[in-house]
Amino acid sequence: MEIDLERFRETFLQEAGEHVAQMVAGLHELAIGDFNMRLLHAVLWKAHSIKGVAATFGLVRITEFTHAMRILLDSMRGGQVQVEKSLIDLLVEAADVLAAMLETARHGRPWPPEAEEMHERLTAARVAGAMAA
Amino acid sequence: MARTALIVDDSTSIRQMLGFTLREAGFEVVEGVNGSDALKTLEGKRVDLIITDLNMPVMDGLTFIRAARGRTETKFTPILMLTTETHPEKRQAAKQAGATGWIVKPFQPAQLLQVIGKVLP
Repeated sequence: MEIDLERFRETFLQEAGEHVAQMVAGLHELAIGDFNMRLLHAVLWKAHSIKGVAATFGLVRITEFTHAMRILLDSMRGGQVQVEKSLIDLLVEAADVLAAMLETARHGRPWPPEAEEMHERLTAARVAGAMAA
Repeated sequence: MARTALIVDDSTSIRQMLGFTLREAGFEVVEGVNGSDALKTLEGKRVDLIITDLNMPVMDGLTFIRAARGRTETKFTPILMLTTETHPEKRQAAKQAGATGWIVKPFQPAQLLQVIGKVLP
């Protein structure tokens, strides 16, 4: 059966935008307050949710980017990577890039040029953090 | 008489896509936004099929499946887990909780309906 995914795309993009906003809020709270595992888990959850649905819509670059955020967050949650403010700040930056990527998907705006570099930074941060742990 | 499917997922867009797919296949569809909400949806209602996500807030899919299997009305209802998780241990946990089958997201409608065809009498 062929179904037209476009009819659901707008709902996904709206939903994803809300998730990103909640991620940013959670990350800001992590950045300024004492470390809170529950909050980290909530942020991780948002990344997981966006990734899952983006994959369903064939938004490969958004899926892969969100996956990079997710596995860094998961490494922090699992203790493989130490939670540091610099990583939280990186994730806040990444969330902003993700928001721009969603705008691209939604309105056909130019692809954010910093997306590729940010993806690499997320991966590098996880690897460096794992080696330091 | 149309069969009824319960879909359980915290994602609005996933529920919409699943709902559309199942209605096109002739099902009536009821929904839950998480496991706890789904259990409320099940009260006083008979369903022929349940499709649930694994990772959800409030009550996750595994907890929901165990609760559903504890109810007389849904003890033997086919329950499919539809999730992005691929870890074998998660699949095993779902099986032990009482899941009938497992489909990895992103799902293809034809594949989903094929699996449903296998688990529904």
